Amino acid sequence: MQISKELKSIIILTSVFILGCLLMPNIYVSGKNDRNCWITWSNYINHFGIQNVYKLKVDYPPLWHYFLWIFSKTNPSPESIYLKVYHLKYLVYFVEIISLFAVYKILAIRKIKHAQLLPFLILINIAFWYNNFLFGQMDGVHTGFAFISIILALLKRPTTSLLFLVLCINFKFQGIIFLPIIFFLIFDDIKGYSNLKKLTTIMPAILLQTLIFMPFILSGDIKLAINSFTESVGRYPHVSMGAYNVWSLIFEKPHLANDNWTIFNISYNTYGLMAFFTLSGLILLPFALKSLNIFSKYIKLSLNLENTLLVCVLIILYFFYFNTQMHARYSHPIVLFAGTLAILRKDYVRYLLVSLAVFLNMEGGSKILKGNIREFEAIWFQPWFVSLIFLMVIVLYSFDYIMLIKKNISWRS
Amino acid sequence: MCLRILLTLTTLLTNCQSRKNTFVLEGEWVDISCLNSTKNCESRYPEILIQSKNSDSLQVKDHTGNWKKIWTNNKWQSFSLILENEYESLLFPNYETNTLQYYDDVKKGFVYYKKSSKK
Repeated sequence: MQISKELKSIIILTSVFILGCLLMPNIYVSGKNDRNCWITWSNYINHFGIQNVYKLKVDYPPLWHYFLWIFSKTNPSPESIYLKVYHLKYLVYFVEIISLFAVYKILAIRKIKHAQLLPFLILINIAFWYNNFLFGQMDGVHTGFAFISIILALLKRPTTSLLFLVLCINFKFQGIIFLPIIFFLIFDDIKGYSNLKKLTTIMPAILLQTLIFMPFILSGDIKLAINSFTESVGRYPHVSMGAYNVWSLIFEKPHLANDNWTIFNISYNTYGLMAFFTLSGLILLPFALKSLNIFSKYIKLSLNLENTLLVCVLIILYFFYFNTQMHARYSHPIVLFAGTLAILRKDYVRYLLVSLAVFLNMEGGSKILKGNIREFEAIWFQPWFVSLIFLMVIVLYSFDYIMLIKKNISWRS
Repeated sequence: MCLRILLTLTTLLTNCQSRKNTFVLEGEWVDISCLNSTKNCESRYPEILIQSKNSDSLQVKDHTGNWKKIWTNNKWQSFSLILENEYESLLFPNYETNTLQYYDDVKKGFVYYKKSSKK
């Protein structure tokens, strides 16, 4: 019997998923803050129903509560919710495995050799699995949804791409940083559609959003559910919440500095946002012009996979590196995007560097592998050192981008 | 197909359970194993007093009948508890039975609390 390559890949990834679940540690970051949240919310959802979860004043967007609902329905007593809370990691890991299958699919479409094995360069990377396996957080989910949405947009499947975008933003509001690039990709595809076809393309996404909101609409808590998207923004007005980013080069203890403090009447928070929006805007501009058909005769830029991944990598890095209030784990999405880009380019230096920075920041902040919360003395765990690695990576990727633009924009038509 | 599944799911979610939260955390909670006598029971905290004004501490009664404060991280309707072996447990409600419980990692079992009937 001949097994197709796709089926073989599904079997391999399923086996890896099962193995990962069997090895999943019941470990959480010191303080167990996240673990305690998941237990409390799951226990509440289990008894009062998902539609009432916002009465508890929780501040996470709706989709995570659906994950907690699934978990609590499979562990329906408070005791079992407490003892088996780490089973939530299975759900996150499942989405991560799906996103690796998406990596395999694009490599297979490109007819790249060893397409089944290459995604393992991402999976075996500790920077990829630290956040879920050890820290107990779920950034892998919105990352996976964003990644799949982008891949589907590139494969000219706008309807399904929008569905994954809806899932992504409903899981974590940070996913909105991917909205512009997905919009440009989809717009480039559907600009020739009739109005009716455009409507039928976006209608399933609107329907999905309504369905996600439905329990909260019916319980009268829709306003609380909508507020949850932005409520956590600004809750901890610190320059850094553990991210070793540009602020670690400016402040010795950025986690103690308030990001509302000002220089020249402009707050640190605003400086961060300005840097992020300006740099993201600059790198998105040629893509926007190309997609919207403006100055298109001067722009030869292609909205292909490598270019799109490069833009995504830069947006994630700018978001993490310049904004205030950033947690260490907010850099998590970079691993999947940079890893896929590295596999496509067959150039792994940047990927290794950025993975190193992500890992050092995560372990430097949480000290899970170290086993105690005493500060690291080794230089490579120092915030300024890790911040410099991130900066170096940003410079390298930005250089790649400048070369790309230089090659694809001509001033003569 | 997907839409049908989601619709069924939503209907199930909204219709199956809609209960009003009448659970009141504030008050004096007694370890169920100490209900007859707080003096002879072996509980770590025979009684726990939860006051809404304190979110970073819990009042616990020891075996001599004295109250002392212990540190906690109170989030939503749960309280973290650090046990003597440094294990971080969680005191949280069972809405079905109107009790509180935390996992005792030393004895490998749950400790249950019932609201005191004392006024």
